[in-house]
Order: sequence, then structure tokens, then C-alpha cells
Amino acid sequence: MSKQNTLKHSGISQIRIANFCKNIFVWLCLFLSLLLISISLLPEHQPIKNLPENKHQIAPTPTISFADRSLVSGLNHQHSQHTGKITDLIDSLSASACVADFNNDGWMDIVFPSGGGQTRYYGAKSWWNQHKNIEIYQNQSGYFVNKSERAGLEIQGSTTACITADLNNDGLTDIVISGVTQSRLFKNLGDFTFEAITDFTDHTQDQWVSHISVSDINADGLLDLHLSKFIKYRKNQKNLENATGFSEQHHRQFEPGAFDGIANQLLINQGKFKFSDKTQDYLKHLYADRTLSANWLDLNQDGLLDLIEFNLAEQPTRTYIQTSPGIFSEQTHSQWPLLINHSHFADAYQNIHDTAPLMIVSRAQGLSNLAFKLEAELQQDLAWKTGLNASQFLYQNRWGLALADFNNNGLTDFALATGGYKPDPFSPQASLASPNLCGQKQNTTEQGFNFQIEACIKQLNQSSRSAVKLDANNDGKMDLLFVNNNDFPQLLLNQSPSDLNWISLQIDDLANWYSASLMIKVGDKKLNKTVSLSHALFGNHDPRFHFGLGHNQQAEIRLKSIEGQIIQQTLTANQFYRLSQNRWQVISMQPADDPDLALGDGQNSISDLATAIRTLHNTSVNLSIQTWIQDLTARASSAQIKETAQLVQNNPNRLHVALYLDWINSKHADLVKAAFQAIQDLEQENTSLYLLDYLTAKADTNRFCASAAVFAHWFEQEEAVTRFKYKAVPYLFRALSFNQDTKIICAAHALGHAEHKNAADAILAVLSNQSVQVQAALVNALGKTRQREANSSIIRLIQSTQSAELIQQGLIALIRLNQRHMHQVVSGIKDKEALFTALINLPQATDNIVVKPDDRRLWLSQISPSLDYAKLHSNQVKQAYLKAATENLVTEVALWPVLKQADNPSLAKTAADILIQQTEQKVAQYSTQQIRLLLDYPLTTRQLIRLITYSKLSQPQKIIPSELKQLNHWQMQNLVSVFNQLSDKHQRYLAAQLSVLPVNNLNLALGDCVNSTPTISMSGQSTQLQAYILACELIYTAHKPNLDELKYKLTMLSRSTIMIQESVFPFLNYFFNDKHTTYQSKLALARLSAGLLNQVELRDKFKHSWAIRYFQYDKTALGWVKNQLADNNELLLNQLLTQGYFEPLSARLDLLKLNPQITPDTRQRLNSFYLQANLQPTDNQEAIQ
Amino acid sequence: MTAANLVKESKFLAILFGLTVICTLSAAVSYLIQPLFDHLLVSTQIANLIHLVAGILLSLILLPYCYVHIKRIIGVRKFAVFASGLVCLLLIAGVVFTGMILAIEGLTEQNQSILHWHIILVLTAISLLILHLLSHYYSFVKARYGDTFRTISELKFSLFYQLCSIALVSLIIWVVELSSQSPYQQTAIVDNYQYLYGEHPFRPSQTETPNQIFIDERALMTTHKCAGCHADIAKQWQSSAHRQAASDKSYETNVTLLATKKGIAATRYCEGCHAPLALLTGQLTEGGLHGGIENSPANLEGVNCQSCHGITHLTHTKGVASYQFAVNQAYLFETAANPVLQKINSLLIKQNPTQHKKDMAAPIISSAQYCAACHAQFIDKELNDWGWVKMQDEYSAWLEGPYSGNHDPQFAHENQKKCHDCHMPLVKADDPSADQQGRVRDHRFLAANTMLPLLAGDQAFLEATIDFLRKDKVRISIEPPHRTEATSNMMPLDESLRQAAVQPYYFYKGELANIKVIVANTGVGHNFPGGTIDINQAWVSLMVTDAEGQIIYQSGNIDEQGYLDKDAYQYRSLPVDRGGNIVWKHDLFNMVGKASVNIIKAGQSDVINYQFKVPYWSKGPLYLSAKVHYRKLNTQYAKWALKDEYQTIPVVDMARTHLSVPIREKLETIDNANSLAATKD
Repeated sequence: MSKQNTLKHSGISQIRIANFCKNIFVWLCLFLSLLLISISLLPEHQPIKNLPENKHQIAPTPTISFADRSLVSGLNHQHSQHTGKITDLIDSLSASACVADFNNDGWMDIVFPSGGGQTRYYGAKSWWNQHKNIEIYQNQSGYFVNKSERAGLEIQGSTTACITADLNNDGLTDIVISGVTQSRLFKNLGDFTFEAITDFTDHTQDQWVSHISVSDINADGLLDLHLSKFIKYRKNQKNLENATGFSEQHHRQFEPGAFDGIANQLLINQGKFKFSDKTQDYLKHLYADRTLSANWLDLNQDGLLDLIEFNLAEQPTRTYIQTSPGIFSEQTHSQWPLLINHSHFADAYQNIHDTAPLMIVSRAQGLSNLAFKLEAELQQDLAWKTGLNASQFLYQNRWGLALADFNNNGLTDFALATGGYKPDPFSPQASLASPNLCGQKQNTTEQGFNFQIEACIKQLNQSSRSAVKLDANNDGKMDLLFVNNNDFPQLLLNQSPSDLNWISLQIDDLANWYSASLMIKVGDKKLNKTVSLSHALFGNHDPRFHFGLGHNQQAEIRLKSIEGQIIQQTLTANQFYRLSQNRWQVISMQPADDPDLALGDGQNSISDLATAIRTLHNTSVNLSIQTWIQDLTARASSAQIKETAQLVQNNPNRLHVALYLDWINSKHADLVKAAFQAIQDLEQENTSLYLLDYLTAKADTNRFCASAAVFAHWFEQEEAVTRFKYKAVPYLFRALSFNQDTKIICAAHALGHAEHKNAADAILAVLSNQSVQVQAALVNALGKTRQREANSSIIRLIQSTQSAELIQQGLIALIRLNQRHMHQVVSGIKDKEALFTALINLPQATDNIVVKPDDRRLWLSQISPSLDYAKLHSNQVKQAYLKAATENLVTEVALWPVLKQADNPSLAKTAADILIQQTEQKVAQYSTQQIRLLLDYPLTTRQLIRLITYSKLSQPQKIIPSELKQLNHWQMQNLVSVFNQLSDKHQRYLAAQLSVLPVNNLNLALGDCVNSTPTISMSGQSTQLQAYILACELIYTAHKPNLDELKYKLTMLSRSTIMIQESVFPFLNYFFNDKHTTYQSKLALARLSAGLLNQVELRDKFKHSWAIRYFQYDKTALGWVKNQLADNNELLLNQLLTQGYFEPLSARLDLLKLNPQITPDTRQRLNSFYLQANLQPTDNQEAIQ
Repeated sequence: MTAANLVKESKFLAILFGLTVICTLSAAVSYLIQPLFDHLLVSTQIANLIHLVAGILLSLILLPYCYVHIKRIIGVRKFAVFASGLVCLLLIAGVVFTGMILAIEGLTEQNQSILHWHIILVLTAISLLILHLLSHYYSFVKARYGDTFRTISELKFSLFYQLCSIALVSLIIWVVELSSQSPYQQTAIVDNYQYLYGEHPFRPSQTETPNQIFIDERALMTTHKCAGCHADIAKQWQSSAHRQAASDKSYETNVTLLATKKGIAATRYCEGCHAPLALLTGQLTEGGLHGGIENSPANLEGVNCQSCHGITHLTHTKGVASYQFAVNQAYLFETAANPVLQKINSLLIKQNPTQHKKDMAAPIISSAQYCAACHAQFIDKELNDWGWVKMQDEYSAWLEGPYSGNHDPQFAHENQKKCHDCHMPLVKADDPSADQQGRVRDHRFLAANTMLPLLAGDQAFLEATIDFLRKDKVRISIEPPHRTEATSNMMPLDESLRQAAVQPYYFYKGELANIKVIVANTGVGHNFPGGTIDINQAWVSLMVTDAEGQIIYQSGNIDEQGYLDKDAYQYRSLPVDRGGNIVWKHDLFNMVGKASVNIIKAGQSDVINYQFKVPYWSKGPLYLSAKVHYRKLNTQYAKWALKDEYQTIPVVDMARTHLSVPIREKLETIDNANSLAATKD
């Protein structure tokens, strides 16, 4: 039992141990395995993400560029609204245009409310006012033709805004024009005639309607009108608001806040041009805001157009969200990002690559523009981030907006009209100008974007109000029209070098499709747009929908009306489509820039520039003509250019100003000069702004001076270019601080004539630290400005200067400025020598006429006695002294010793001049040696004639031939160079003397033949002299346009003796030897060559000699050589080959063309000529062989 | 009811009882004992592990037990027993649920309340369990089975086995811990460490370690381990300037220049802040790698997690790495190489981060003076061979400003702000250390360095930095040029009132206009600009245009090559060398003083006078546009320091303002009168 027990016990123990082990093991395993499981449950180490990749990638996009084509567009009217100068908001607030296709020809026409001209603020026109306050233009293949005359568009007072829409659904676009005192509706009768609907005017009588917008609010298929009303304007109205301050500082007439506002109006179209005012019904409120404009945009992207009104006078915008059709709810939440004050206008647009429509709000000076992505909830303003705002642009008043894809890359770009509304202080008939801005959108990341912003066009700043987008030339690229206040409109054609695709959609019966959903799908991109008229500030844009498609070739279009009608079609890119019979139909249009369209028949055959200009005498230059003329100019010979320049200079044509402005940049100096001259003579206001561009620091000096001279002329002519010429004054002021002396001098000249009230101050500010020449020019200008505050500065300057030139101009200026006690001023000049020089040389000074000769003499007599020639310092003074001596103002000086001073040539020259000027008797006494001395100097023609006429030279008997033979080449040239201009008698005398000299001396006189021929008769003279005279006559007549005279002289040549003929040719050769380069010589040579070679009576021998000598330079001679070779002229060939003209002949001769006519013998000889010259035969020469 | 079921239930009960005891004991060790005995960390952690495992096991076995138990008691009509049992079950479910959250998510800051609920639920469940047993006992067991529960037969054996196995598991863990331990090295990583600046191993840097030991690289390079739990923070740090403190190209250039000129040991001066890994591990000696060497460990890590979180206190606030660094107390398997053990180590930290938090967030870490360790700087004779020169010191500047609340406290800023409040604002993050609102301190350390994100191509960080610089830091305004001699009131005024009347402002054409531009440091807690103001660029630009945009005056423009207009009004210091020449390469060892320092103190402002002539061609009104600009590096230095990596560093507009001033013409009569008067004189 015990054993059993023991066994049992041991068994149990074993079992227990086993159980123990088993249990322990189980638990151990369990714990450990759970431990491992727990560990595995731990989250994995999360590797730290690598740095984000740089997504800063700018998509390559074609750069947008525009070219100003205003002057060749036909849009030649001017917005005008003031009576002498801009004085209030009526004058300066608006300028607008509406784009529509009035005759349904597929080309977009334009109507301009162009101001009231000289209309007073209460609406009355000045009796002399001829200004038309509505201008309408028909687009004829890209050129605009004014149709205003018979259009029937008449309205009272100043016009402010327009809208074009088909308001009676008759398929023709009607016009509504608003004004300060009246607004009118014009029914389109077709063919650019309109009829005023008188009922409509009652709604707006005596109310300033600043802007009109349309929308179909009640979805009845009739377009309704929203009228933005501005202020109740009263001239010089006094009120408590803003009643303090200097009037000139606060410009209260330009402050909308100083006047009461008017409630806006919503006119519901009842059909048949009947409208009823339902403002209260729809908008619930009648705020008397000062509303500048309004626009209908789908702000919350719910497919319904919302209304946003933009108010001035620091009042907030009002936004009415259309929650369901016809139901509006005003947004008053203070966090509404659009609830911002003092805004001008806003527009939104979306293109295919934009993630959402972009809305831009333009605002006044100093206030930031705003930019939002239009989504269900408006997000924060992106304007600063995207570059739309930058400090350097905030000085601008920003007005109208055009959002479009200008480079067809599928991203929305924009153009922003800018301009101040206060008058330009220099040109108060114009408001302050500033560059219009164009922004090219660039995607930087998937969501982000920015704008590259710069001036739309660099050279033309105007005060713009509305930026209107249109495709004026139907080239598929959106162009821009900036409408400018009190200025000409500016048409910029899109020149972006883009070959990207686009599509344009036109819905004629817009009223029926208003608020419809237009979906456009391109590749995987899709966008939805609510169909509406695209409003511009004070007007409307091109009503077609233009989309840039990038590289996509087609687009899927789906149009769904609010009634549910769907039109779906896939359209090919680069076409204009019109919705017709519920299908998109392609509109076929001719490109506008085909020159044939404008030039008419036969003109294409004109290849000569001058002829073209003559032909176009009665034709306005359009773009095609401009291109054609540019092409002709590029190909024109220098002769043609010369001729054209002459033509333009003599007969400037106001229809051609665009060409002249173009030519200013020409490389031909003659054309540039002629262009400036023509512009100056035409005195057209619209050219003046273009000239301003040449008054900048960057401009080329010559053009700067030419432009400044034009303005100087206009300033001088009070009636010329009265509106805009004074815009040049600030440019000229700025030029005073340039570091180019020439420009300052030119600017000073113009400023002098401008007589601007600030000119004296501006000039005085820069007078010191200038070169003497510049100071002289500035002082001259000071004199002309007639501002006496300059007197003391001028006196100080001349009393301390050492420059005679400056003293001269100082004295002239002071006399102009009515300086009293001039003799005291003169006696106060410290540098007596300089003063003396100045006074002596005064007759040569610019504007010396203002100094009375007696005064000059008096002042000279004051200082002359104190001067001693021997003690004088500078040559200049000594020269003056010598001159004074001739006037007996100072003690006489022995001149011959001075003349002999070889170390002082300028002084010697003066002495020579004086000696020649001495009395006839004195000159007659000069010895031959003295005459030789005088002939050493470059004397003027007049002096030489005087010398030859009065001296021994005119007395052959007194001349010893050996003395003459001592004359060196220079002296000889001096002597004979005026031969032709001497009197008959003296020619004869001189000829007698020359006969003792080598004949070649006559060559020296040949240069003068261009201008004059000897008057001496030929008979009785030596052969050489006769030959010279004949040669000289030939040269003279060859330089004249009259060919008959040349022919006559050539006949005389052919009839003269052989000896004379033989002598003539060396003279001619001598003359033409080195004169193949200048235009005049070339022309003379060509004339002479033609005459000579065609002179039947002249011996062939001479013709051969002539032709061989000149075939390299003259085509007639070359033709003659060719003909002779073709005729197997042995003599010529012999001469050619013997005189070694191998290489030039091979270079000039088109041998292949001669080939068939050349005899084998001649060929053989030519072949040998090639071999002789060691020339490698080419194909041509092989052909000869 | 069958006996077999009863046996089954009693077996489950036995297991559950044992596990409950183990859980309770381990929890008690971990939760109650740990705060009292720091040195019991190992046992605490083992207890944590056991608690986790036992808890999981308990949760698993609870299900079959409940099934058997409920099946057995169906039909028993004892409300008290039933109700207490049911509530108890629900409470246990709550315990399991909260336990699971804690097991999976760890004991994060946001889970503190869950831990409390876990404990409360456990205690309540146990109490109710006792109630359940008692009510069952008195209502049923005592009457029917005479004091004995029929299901407790297996209890003691099971408990015994479980305790034994727990003991064994603990033993195994302990043995594994001992065997896997690899002690931290305390000597320099490079042999023959040079003591060129006295006996202190880290001089001229001001860094201290316990007993001046070197720190093992493993104790410093823990970034990836930290990122395992603090992924969001790690991501923030990844973009930060701290991460790039050593790999910053300009730093590399400068520290290499220093090493070349003065030897690698001299770089300790810089590296204590820019590359603590190199300094603390003993790399900065002949043969070692300084932080400016590309791809060296110190270069890659820059100022990493441990560099800041290993600081225990500051030695002084004069800067130059004036911190005391200590290695944190190790958790189990801290130094183990085995990945499983490393995981256990992470698990332990996660389950009980008390010690981790204690080590990683020394009290000083949230103080402002903590930043002074590196954001204050001086240089001494040992480096410049000249003498002590004070340099940047954002801490002192902050103390002096209104934000610290220390300087003239009555006029202090309403909300006192520390460095962290601006440079480490609370941001949302999915992080175990996130506060109750789910926020952590932003470890991007947003400040003014736009160069680093630019070079790294980190557009988001660049934009964030620019935003930071623009948000209410400085203000600029243009004082309108009021005409003291004029009034704008047209009403007849008593003479005594005229001086008080509104004075209009305008310029006369041709006059010398004076304009005052005021720049105010409104939101920078320290000087504006701060940091390395010898190479940073902060300046004011003024552009005056007329109404047509013609430029009348401009100052502070950048030319096409990126250089700033020499006459621009700048905020900067101009350090000079002993020859009196400007030290433009930031080679501070050549610097002996400053020619000038132009800054705006916190809360103060600066007035700049501009003068320009109003030209006669100008058209009114004039438009004045003034801006405060900032650029991380001036172009001369940037081109030199960044070499082929140079990119145009963005110019940040920190503030801008505009003013429109009308122009008036002086009346001709007055002018003439004046000129006549002048003539008479």
C-alpha cells in the first residue's frame, strides 16, 4: 500500500511534475507568443518622406505681343468732351465702345459714344461744335469705314456708355447709348441706319447713366437692361461733405463723393422696345449709390448670372446673388470678399486650361486690384500673389478689363485700361495718361499661376477707360481696342507668334439662349460657361465666344438652354462658327490682310516707291497698303528713296501719316528727314503722341532732335496741334538732365519755343555743370521763355564765364527778357577778352538779330581801348581783335606777318580772310608771292572770286608765268576751283594764265562743274580749254534732270573736232574716276552713259572707250558691251582683251545669255582670254567653249 | 447544467483569475511603484510587458468563459446577481476596449484620460465582481452548496503555474537584456583627441557633458527611431533649418574655411550648435570629420532630435552652445542590435513613456533661455586672437522687448510670448505627444531662412517662411508731408485755432521734398533683423513716381545681377577685421568689432529721412511706395558661399505702404517776388 502509495504518490508526483512542466511550458509559450504578436502589432517605422520635388515649372507659352495699328485702322475720330480744358467728372470719366456685327457679315463693327465735344455741363453745345457724339464704323475686311454720317445716331449732350444687343429679336443688333443728360435706344434698320425709339428716353431723362448692362432676368427670351446711374452733378455745388480744403488740391469737381448719388434702374423688356422699371421688384432696394458700372457674372458657379454693382466715393460694391431664376438676394455678409469699396469694374473668364473662372476687379489709384477664382465659395484674394498687383502699378487708375486668351494656349490673359481722370497739367485738354497693362497668365503649378505683366504697347500712353477685346481682322487671335478719354482710340492687333489653335462661336439670337449652359470639352479638359453678353466697362466686347485650344485640333461643344434644349457637336479648330438652325455652321471669311483687297486692280504692277506714293494720293493708308509700301521701301533704290523723300517733303499728305510715322524708323536718312518734315507740316493731333517716343533717353539722337524740332515748330505756330503738343514739355524737361549734350541742346531749343511757365525753373535747375555749348543753348532758351526770374542767373553766369558763345547768348537772352541797364551788365562781365570776342562775333551768333547793332558797337567801344593785341592770350581773341581792326574798332595790326605765322594757322586764316576782304585797291596791290600765301588757305568761293577778280590775277600782263608755275597743287586747286563761277571776263583772263600751265590743272576745276559751267564762249580758245568747257558742260547737264540739254551738249560734242573730242574724254574720266559711290555721281554717270552711247553721231571709238571704262559701274555701258560682243565687234573685243579687263568682264558678263549669239571665233577668243587670265572655267565658260 | 460544463467553466475561471492577478500586480508595479523608485525601471518595464501580454490573454479567454458562464446561468432568476454580473461584464468589456486602445496606440498624451478610464473601469469592475460573487454567494451558493463555489477548484493550481511562468518570462527578458546590452562609449570617436583649447574637450564651444565625457554616436543618432512614433514632427523637422544646420551650403563653405585656416579643432566653436553630433562624439580633432563635410553623419543630421532633447540645462545664456548634454536613461534593449529587441524597446517606450518624457523634455526645454544656448553668440580671443566680441543675441533682445514681460512689466505686451510661441506655434499633428487638441509644437522652426528651402526645392516651406515673415512682423508707413504753414479749412478761424487746424500736405514743383518713412518692429519678438545680420539683408525701398508712372526717385533697388543699390537704407551690422576692413565672408574669426549696427528693437521703430527734388516735369499727384524688404543672404556673400549652387535668393516684401501726395505750383507772382528779392540781395 505504502509502496503502492509511494508508487501512487510517485506516480502522482510524476504526473504533477509533468502537468507542472506542461502547464508552465504552455503558459510560457503563450506569454512569449503573445509578446511577439504584440510586438508585431507595433506600427512600422514610417520613413521620413523625401523632400517634395520642385514643382516650380513654367509651361512654355508663346509671348503675347501687340502692334499699334490705330492709324491704319480707319478709326480716326477722337473722343472729346470739354470746353477748352478738362474741368470735371463729365469731361474725364468715360470713353467707350461697343463691338457688334450690325450687318451680320461676320466682321465685327464698332460704335463709339465719343463725348459731347464742346458741350457744356448742362448739356448745351457750343454753337461752333461740329463734333459727332456717336460714331459708328463698319468693318470691311479689317478696315473700319466711318458710317456715322447717315446712320441716324443722334443724342443730346455728352455720351458716356453704350450696349449693343438685339432687343426686339429681329435678328439685327440694336444700340443703346447713354449720356449725362439723356439715354437713347436705336433700332437697327439694317445697312447701318438706325431709328431712335423715343419712349425709351423717358426712363432716363436728366439722369447720368454711366454704364448699361444686359441680361434676361425673367427668362422670357427678351433681354432686359440694367442702368448704372452715377451722380446728380451740379457745377460748383457746395455741400457739407468734403467741404474743406483748397479747391485746386481737392479737385472737388472730380470727387463723386461731393455729389448725391442716383438709384440704379432695372428695366424689364416687355417686347417691341417697351420697358418697365422693375428695380424694386427684383433687387428689393433702391440705394442711391454712385454707381460707375455693373456686370452680370456667375459668381457662385451655380449657372445663374449674379449682379454686381461697382460704386465710387469709397462706397462698397453691391452683390446680388441669383438664388433661383429671377430671385436675387443681396450679399451683406461682412466677410464677403467682394464687399470692397471704390471699385471700377470686374470681369471673369475661363479658358480650357484654367482650373476655374478668374475674376479680376479693377480699382482706383492706390487701391489693390482683386482677383478671385470663381468657385462655390469665393476664396481669398489672389491679386498680390499672382502679380496682378505690384507697387509699381498702384499709381494707376485702372478701369476697363478685357479677359481673353490672347495667345490661344488655353489660359486666360488680361488687358487692363489705365489712366488718370484729372487733367494733364501740361496739356489740360487731355486727362493723365499711363500705360495700359497686359498680363500673360503662366501656370506655375497644378493649381497656382501668376501673371507676367507689362505695358501692352510701349510707345503710346493715353488715358484709357475701356479695354475692349475683339477679333478685328478675323485671324483667330483676339485684338484689343483701348478707348481713350479725350483722345483717339487705340487699336492693337494681336501679333503673338502663336500657331496654337482656337475656336470662335457666335450666337446671333443671344436672347433666346441667354443663361444657357455652354460646355466645351477639349481632350480631358472641360469647362462650363453661362451664355451671356461679354460686358466691357461702359460698353461690350466682341459678342463671339473665343477659346484658345492649345495644341488640340477639335473641341466638343454642348449647348443646353434653360428650357433643356441641347445642341451637341464636335467642331474642328481654327474656324468661326455661327449657331444657325440649331447647328454650328462654319462662317467663311477672307483674311483681312490681303493687299489685293485694298489696292484694287493694277496697283500690284507698281514697283516704284515714288510712283506708288503718287498713285495713293487720294487713298487712306490701311494695313495692306502699309505692308505693301514697307515692302517697296525695303526694295527701293537710293534714287527712288531720294525721289520719294523729295515728293513727301514737298507734298505731305494727311492720308499718309501712318507711312510717315513708319518711315521715322527707316534706315534711310532722307526718308526720316522727309517724314519728320511732313508730320510737322501736316500738324495732325494724332501724330504728336507718336513723336513723344523719340524724346526719351533711349531714342537715337538724330531722331530726338528731329522730333524736338517738330515740336519747336508747333510751339512756334500757336494754332498748330493745340490739344496734345504740350505733352512734349515734360519730355523736354526730362531731356535736360540727360547726359548727351546734343539732346539737351535740341530740347532747350524746343523748350524755348514752348514758353512753358515752369521752363525757366527747369532750365535754371540744370544750368550749372554743363558744357559751354549746352549752357549757351539753355540760356538762349531762357531768353525765349520770357520769364524774368532767369535774369539774375543769366547775369551771374555770363559775368563769370570765359566763353564768348555763352556771353553772346546771355546778352541775347537778357535783351529778350527786358533786362534793364544792359550796359551795366556788360561792364560787369569779368572776362573782357571773352566779352570782346563775343561782341565781335555777335553777327554770327544764333538769334543775333535781337541785339541792336548800335548797342553792340557801343559795348565794343567801351572795352576795345583797353585791349592790346600783343598782350592777348588766346587765338580766339586775337582773331576777334583782327576782325575788330578791320572795323576800325581797335588799332590796326600788320596782317602779313600774322599770315606768315605758320604755327598759328587759325589766326593766319583770319588774317587771310581779312586781307581778302580789304578794299579793291589794296587787293590789286598784292604781289604774286602774297597771292600765293593767300592761296595756301582754304578760302571760300566768294573769297577766291574776289581775289581772282581784284588781284593781279585778273591782269594777265602783270603776271609772270614763272611765278605761276611755282604754285603748288593745293594753291593751283584753290585758284582754278572757282573757274566756272568767275565772270566771263575773268574766266578769259584766268584761262590765258592757265594756258601757260600744264593742261591737267584744269582737272582741278572739274569738281565745280557739278554746280556751274564756264560762261566763257568756246570759240577762240585753246583746244584744251574748249574740251574742258565742253566736258564741264556735260558734267553739269548730266547732274540735271533735264535730259534734252544733255542730248544737246552731246550733239555738240559729236560735232566738235576730233581733237576736242579726244580731249574731252580725259576730263570726263578724271571727273568720274573716283566718283562711283555717291548717289548723285552714279545718277549722272548713268545719264551721261546712256546719252553718250546712244548718240548716233559720235564715233564708235569713243563709245568703246567709254563702255570699256564704265561697264563695271554702269548698266548702259555694260549692255552696250554685251551687245557689241554679241555683234562680234572685233574692235571692242580687242580693246577689252588688250586693256586687261579680264576679271571685271568675267564678273559682270552673263556669258551664258550671250552664248547663242556669239560666233565661234569670238568664243575662241574669249576662251583664250580666260586662259590668259588664269581663270578657272565655270559651267558658263565651258558653255562658251 | 452538466458537470462537464461546470468543469470547463471552472478551468476558464481559474485561468482568468490568474491573469487578473498578474495584470493587477504588473499594473501596480508599473503605475504605483515606478514613481517612487526610479532605479526600478527595468522591473517596471518587465511588468509593463507582462501586463500587456496578460491583458491580451485575459481578453481572449474572457470570451469562451462568458459563453460557458452565461449558458450555465440562463434561467437563474436572481436580479441582483444578474444585474451585477451584467454590469460587471460591460465594465470588463470597457476595460478590454480601453486596454486595447492603449496597447495599440500607446500611452500618448491624448490617451491619458483613456488610461484613467482603464484604471477606473478595472477598479469598478473588480468591485462589482466582488458584489456579484457576494450576492451570488448569499442568494444561492450558501444556501445550496454550503459556502463553496463549485467553480473555484482549479484556481490555485492555475495561479501557481501562471506566476511561475511569469517569473520565468521575466527572467528570460532580464537575461536577454543583459546579454544584448552594449554599453555607450564615453571616449572620443577619433583617437588622439586634441586638447588645443585647454583641458576641456569641447572648447571653444561652451558645451558641457557629465564629467566631460564624449557621447556615443548611437545615443545621438536616434532620428529614425524617434520618427517611428513622431512621424509628423520628424517630417516638420526634415524641412527645417535645424536639420540643415550643417548641410547648409553656406555653412559648409564657412566651416571649411575655418578648418582650413585654423584647423579642425577650431570648428568646435561652430559645431556645438550647427553639428552637435560631430562635437559631442569627439570628431572635431585631427583625423575627424567636421559637420561641413558632405554626407558625414553630423552633416546629414544637423541639429537632430537628441541635439535639443538631450539638453538638460544651460551653463549660461551667452550662447555658443552653452548647454549641458546628457544621455537619456535607457529603456530595455536600448542598445540592442536585434530588430525584435529594438521593437520591444519601442513598445516599452510607447506603453510607458514616463521616463522617456522625463528624459526628452527637461523642464528647461520650454523656457526662452533654452534657445539662448545657440541663438546667442560671442567670440573670444582664443578664436579671433583679439578679444571678446558680442554678436547676435536674440535672447537678450527678447528679454529687453515687450514680449518677455520682464522689461518694464507694466507696459509689457498683453500676451507675453516666448521663442516657441512664434517659431514653434502649436500645429495640428498626428503625434503621440500631441496635446488634448491634437497639437504639437511646430518643428519646422519657421523663421527667416528662405535660402535653404529654395536650394532644397521645397516650395511649400519657402512659401510658409515667406508667409511667416509677412504676418504682422514689421510695419511701414510714410508720414504725409504736412505743411505747417497751411490749413485745409476754408472756414474763418480764430488765429489761436489755426495751428490746431488740419494741415494739408502737398509738394511744390521744383522743391526739395523731405519724406519720413517709419519702420516699426511690431511683431518680431527680438531685434529686427535678427540672426546673422552681417550677411542677411533687410532694407527699405522707396519709389516715387508721378501720375504717369515716371520715376522721380528710387532707393533700395536691386540691379540685374542681384546686387542691392549701394545707397539703400539697410538694417545690418558691418563687422570689421583688425585692418578696419569689412568682414563680408562671415569669417568671424577675423572679426574684431563692428563698424555699425542698425537694427530696430522689439516694439520700437525707426524713422528714415528721404530727400528728393520734385521735378518740374512731374504730374501730380506723386505716388510714394515704400517697402521693407528682406533677403536671407546678400548677393556678394551668397555668390561666394553657395558657389555653383547659387540661385537668386527671393526678396521678401515684409511690409509695404503707399501714399499719394498732390503737387502744387508755386504761384508765379510769389516766385517772381522771391527772385526779385534774391536779386536785390
